[in-house]
Amino acid sequence: MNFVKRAGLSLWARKGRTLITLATFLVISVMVLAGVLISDATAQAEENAKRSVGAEINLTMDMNQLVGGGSMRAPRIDAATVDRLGALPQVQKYTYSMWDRVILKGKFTLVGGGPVDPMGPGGTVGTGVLDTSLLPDFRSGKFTLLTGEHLTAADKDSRQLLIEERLAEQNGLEVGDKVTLVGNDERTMADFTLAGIYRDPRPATEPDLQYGINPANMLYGAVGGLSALASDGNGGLQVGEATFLLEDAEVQGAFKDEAKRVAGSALDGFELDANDKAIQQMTGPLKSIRSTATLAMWLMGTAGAAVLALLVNLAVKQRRTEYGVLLAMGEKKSNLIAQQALEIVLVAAVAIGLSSTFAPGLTQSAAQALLGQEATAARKKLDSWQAPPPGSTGLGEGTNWDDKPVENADPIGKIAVALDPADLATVGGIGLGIGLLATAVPAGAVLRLSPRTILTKGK
Amino acid sequence: MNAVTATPPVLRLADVSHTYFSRRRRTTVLKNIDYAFERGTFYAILGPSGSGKTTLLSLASGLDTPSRGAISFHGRNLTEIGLGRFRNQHVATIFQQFNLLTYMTALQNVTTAMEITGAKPATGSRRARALHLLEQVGLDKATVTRNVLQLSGGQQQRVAIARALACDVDILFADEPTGNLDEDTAQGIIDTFRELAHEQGKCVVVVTHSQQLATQSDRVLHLRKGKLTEQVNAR
Repeated sequence: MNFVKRAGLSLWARKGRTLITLATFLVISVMVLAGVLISDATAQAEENAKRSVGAEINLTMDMNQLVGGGSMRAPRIDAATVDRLGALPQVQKYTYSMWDRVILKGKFTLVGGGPVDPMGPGGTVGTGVLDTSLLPDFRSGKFTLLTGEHLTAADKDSRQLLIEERLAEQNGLEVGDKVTLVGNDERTMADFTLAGIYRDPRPATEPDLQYGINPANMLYGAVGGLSALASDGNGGLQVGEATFLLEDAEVQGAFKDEAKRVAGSALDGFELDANDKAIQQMTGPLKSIRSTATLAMWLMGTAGAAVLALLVNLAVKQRRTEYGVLLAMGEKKSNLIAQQALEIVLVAAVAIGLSSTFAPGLTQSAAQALLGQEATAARKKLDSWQAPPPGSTGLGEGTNWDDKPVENADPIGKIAVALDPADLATVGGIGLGIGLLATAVPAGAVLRLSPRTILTKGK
Repeated sequence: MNAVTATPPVLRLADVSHTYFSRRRRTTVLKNIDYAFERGTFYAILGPSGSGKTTLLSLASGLDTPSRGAISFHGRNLTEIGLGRFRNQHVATIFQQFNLLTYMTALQNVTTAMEITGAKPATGSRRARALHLLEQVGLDKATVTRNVLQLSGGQQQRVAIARALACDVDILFADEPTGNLDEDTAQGIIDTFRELAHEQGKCVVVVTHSQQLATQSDRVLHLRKGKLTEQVNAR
């Protein structure tokens, strides 16, 4: 173990060179560690996003098929078919919904101050839902149930409603009160009991993207009860969209395949959207900074490694005489390489240790700043999308439905950088690999020579 | 030329030739050298510059292999023993350029050599033995703890000699070991070599231009145009 002592003496005696090597290693370590940390943090955030979004499959109308087919009539699917899809083994929970125009009858009035109502005087949108707790807006926390209870599958054929807080306040309605709704045919009517009051944070002036109505006037009812008012309510319960919550995001593909097999042509006009768009929307900024960080890591790491390799190469060549002397004394070549490697390892260990103390904080600040900018830019782009005016499809008016933002899928603007032993091991491995390679190649070249050649060459 | 010996030689050079190849020419510096070095003998090798003295010393000390011929230690070919092992266990070399480890003190240079060769003093520690040897070559305690680059050429040469002496080997090679020393110190070193050969039974081989040293050796070998001739000094 004599080489260990020599390594220590060499490092101590050559302080200038040791410090330069340490500084170079420190730069490499910080850059590589930052890259690894950002990569890990973004991967984790992406994974979380996929977990929150990816386990959900939405059955929605296929806008492209709708437009391409020339029909402006929204497709419907038999609720029994959706029930069969909901019974597939990959599905944990599911809900479906249909909507139609309904009219509030009697003394009750809709909330005003909003957009020109596309549903006509007294008209609004009644959405029949199997399980309101599974609606994306409730699951994301955008909507809050203030009083009462959600409508569940057990309430399917009941006549119950959830209404928005502002509509309830305007009309002095409370849970348990009854309201009368008239169907789109303006003849069919039924009394509904308020099962709950919820809060939608959107201002009354901001029209609902899908229906163009004042969001405070949206009604959610038991799907069976509301469908009884529907204008196409004959021939069994028909629904417009469904949401399936899967056991695991990994089974999306299997579920989609199975659903297409089970439902067959009933799915025409619909798409089973694995919410990839939501994931893309949420993780776009993450991917951007990850690629930037990875590029910076490779560039700086490679440049640093090149500088380090040159430094070590130079050092090894300057140590020819030392090698020659030690070999002349019969020191083993392996011990000489071990000494040189140990010197690099010691410097690398100090550099990695130092970098691990401040790189996480530095990386968090830098990554957060970058991600914040990316997320803001992404949000601006999403916010700039304009729905076509009520009564228009937007076709030929510059509206691209593919660019329509997915609700409740804000671009992720925060990541949590955390250093774990695996990150340190990765950086340590890369650092040691660079150091050992930079040592072994020139040292091997020198040590191939005889001690006499080493000692006399160039003299 | 063969030296006729009664006892088995410690080191034998058999028909050794050595040629250097450069881009344009080949230079044979040693030609068919046959010689047997004995234990307990102090040799001086003389010869003009470029005559191949240092090359001969390098081959004999296992720093390089001859282009032709064989070198054996106690009858075993060096390649069979292994040059590294031979250098580590059986020979020590004092280089003309000293070749000290420049990041160490004088004392560390000596103890490091002892650690590498595994030399263990009969009594006391390696450090104590190293201090004794350094004192023997004329270096005081304050000097031996200084980095060797802070020492004069003469002091460095003495460190190199102490380092070689510390290794407790069978054969000691030295290339101009007294070149940078004053007359008194040089004489002290020569006395040490003689003592090593005559009292400890070592084989001491010194390449030199110094007549002072040559006349005090047991045998003087002349190297001229790659050929070795011997002269035995009457004692």
